[in-house]
Amino acid sequence: MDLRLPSKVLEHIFSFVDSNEDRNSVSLVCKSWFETERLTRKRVFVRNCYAVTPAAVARRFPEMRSLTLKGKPHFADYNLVPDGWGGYAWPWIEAMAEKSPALEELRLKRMVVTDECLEKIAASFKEFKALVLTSCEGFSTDGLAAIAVACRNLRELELRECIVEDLGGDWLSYFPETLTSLVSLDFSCLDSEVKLSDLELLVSRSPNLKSLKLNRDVSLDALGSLLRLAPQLVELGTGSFSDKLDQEAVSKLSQAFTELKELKSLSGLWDVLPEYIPLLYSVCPGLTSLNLSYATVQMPDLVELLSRCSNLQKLWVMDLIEDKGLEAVASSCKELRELRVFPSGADVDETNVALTEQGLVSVSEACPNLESVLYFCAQFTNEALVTIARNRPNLKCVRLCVMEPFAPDHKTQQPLDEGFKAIVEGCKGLQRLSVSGLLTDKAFEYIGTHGKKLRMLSIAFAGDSDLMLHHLLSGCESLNKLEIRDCPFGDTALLENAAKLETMRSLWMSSCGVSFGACKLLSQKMPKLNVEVIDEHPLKTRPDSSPVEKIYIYRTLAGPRLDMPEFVWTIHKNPEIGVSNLAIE
Amino acid sequence: MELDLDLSLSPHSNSSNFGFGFDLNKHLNTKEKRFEAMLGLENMEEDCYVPKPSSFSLNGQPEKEDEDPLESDSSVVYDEEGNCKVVGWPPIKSCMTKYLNYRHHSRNHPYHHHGRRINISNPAATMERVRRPTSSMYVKVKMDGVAITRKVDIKIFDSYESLTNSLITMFSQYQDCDREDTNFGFTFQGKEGDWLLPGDGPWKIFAESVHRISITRDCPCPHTRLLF
Repeated sequence: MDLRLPSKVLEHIFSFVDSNEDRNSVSLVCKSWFETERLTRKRVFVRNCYAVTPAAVARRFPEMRSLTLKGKPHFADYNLVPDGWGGYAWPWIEAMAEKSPALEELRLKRMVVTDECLEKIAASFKEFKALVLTSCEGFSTDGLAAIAVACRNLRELELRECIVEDLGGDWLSYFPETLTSLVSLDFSCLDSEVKLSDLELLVSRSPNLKSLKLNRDVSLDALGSLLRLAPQLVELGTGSFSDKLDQEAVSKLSQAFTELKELKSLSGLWDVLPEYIPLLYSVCPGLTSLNLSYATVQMPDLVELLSRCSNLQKLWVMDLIEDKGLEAVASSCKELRELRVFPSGADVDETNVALTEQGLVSVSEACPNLESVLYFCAQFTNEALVTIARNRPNLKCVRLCVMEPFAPDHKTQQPLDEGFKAIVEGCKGLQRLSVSGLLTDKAFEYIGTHGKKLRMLSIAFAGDSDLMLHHLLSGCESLNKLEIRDCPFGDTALLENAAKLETMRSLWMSSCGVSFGACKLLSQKMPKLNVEVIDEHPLKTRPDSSPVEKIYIYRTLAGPRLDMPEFVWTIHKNPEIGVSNLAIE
Repeated sequence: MELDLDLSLSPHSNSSNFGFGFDLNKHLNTKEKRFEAMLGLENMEEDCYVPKPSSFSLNGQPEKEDEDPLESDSSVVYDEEGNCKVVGWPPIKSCMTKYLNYRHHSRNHPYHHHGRRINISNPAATMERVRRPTSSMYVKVKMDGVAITRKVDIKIFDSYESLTNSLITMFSQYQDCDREDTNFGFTFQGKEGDWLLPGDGPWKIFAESVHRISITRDCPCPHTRLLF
């Protein structure tokens, strides 16, 4: 009796399997499941663009309609990865243009995207619907014009925190009059002004527009007229909120806000003046997400606003909110799931001293659904961390940035080891952790012992010795991404735990004590890893004992990459070839 | 310049002796000292000299520096005001630091001095070039012989002279050159790709269109000498 299900039945069953984690498991069951699954996967995620070749991906998933790619390591966000490192989108776009011309969606993060790439997308994918670029760079507004003019079914065009060469606002006028399918438009990171009339025309012919995020140059006046044209918006990113308006304009704007019955998410609000805060009151009760990262108002105004946001789930705000403001958030925003508090000054010296560990403690006490926290603060205490862990065992993401490196518990002058111990011990589902402050190897022993679900860990200016790395690599079973800077360990732990690295996506180490010799050894021992050394000040001869500036190690099926700049070296698997810099001119 | 650290190997290292461990707790009392020691900043001169952190040989002794000891390592750079800054710390994304710097430099900004402690490290320099830029405009600057291309915000300067002086100051701190004796040649690349000399056009127009700056040192060709 043949117990195998016919592939048509399998296909039907698999069509209900959405999550790629599940699909990956499905594909491991047996050959026929692998085949059926791969022929039905529409959304493909490649979380390291160098882990696999574009051709291999195209070959495996012929029905791919949506591709998500990530390029540079996370620390590139903080300028630790030199320009020219890599992460080029072109090879992927070129391959997909040839092998997957039915592609509809492309989502890229931390990649280099050129105008050529954008033109290729515009020319090759007839059904293209969505382009979402996060922290990308390398293109200009000319490339955007190419997308606008050619993609007749475009639904989403989102530029999130990209670095764009801004050649003017004309690109917007390239959307043809026949384009009525727009659902989401985000050009908040662009610098120059777009023509208001073009924008109004676009908005008025886009009945499905749900998300609109403007750049800073769109005036308050313009905002009013845009809102009147799109009262159905669910997500709004305003432009600058500091122009002086006369009374009539203010009341018209206020009226426009009251018409936004569907609004759930609000951002932008650059330099918002306190007298304009009341304009937002009408939308507050409906908001689930509020980004005040650029809203430079003081605590009392913030409290007025937030006390009306009873349904808020996600809040990003500056430290201008202070402890007092967070207490108000704690009592008003009971649905809060995610809190991020950013510094209002660019330097450690400018941190707002009225924001302390107490603010976070208050929120952890009162908000039962709080699971994700990013908190910049001048200083912290073990007691506060213990309290937070006790209050909120359901925390999944804790990123604490004590601004001063090596800062101890400011009450006891002890390291923050015990505090972080409480966090990893109490929050059993913790998946992401960033530590800071004064930490000894003990902290990492605790993390290794208790952080069993930890997938991503970020460390800076911490620890004493190789023990710290050893604890992490040998203890954290679920560890997927580890990034470390300026910590004093050497080669031993890395080499002893080499096998662990093949179970992880990537490891970044910069300004640590790892030697060149260790990099060579590691690369020769581990065939499925790329060990890349980034060195902008190479010594003329490189002895094995010399420490390297930065190392990026990642598992890959694609072998060493061929697009490295002159400051990146990969260690050949064959010790005879040694080190090479495989750059293509 | 010595690094005043205990270079004992970590207690758990095996005989391969690759790594070094240092126990900061043993020697240093305050967090400032730890931070400085980490980056070799103790015994700092006024000019903020930062040695390359530790090339250590197998037996734990510091190697002879075989290259320019003033070349900064990857963790520390200098901003336009000549202050030591740690790269990428605090870990804030560039779009946000761009905005925070704009607020810091903007004298007329409504919240510049609003009820918080603000510590401006070099008040004279800041006051000199404080203005309210509408946006930052970062331009790449490459100097002969310096590996790292730096970026400066053109909008905070108001003349060719202030720009070139600042650039010379910035690079002098890296290179062991005496700025009095050295001739610097500046060339600027505009958006169309053409290379120009300083003073070719009015400052305002230049500031809108400059794309890249290249600095040569001690170049024999007279036409690249500094015009000021």
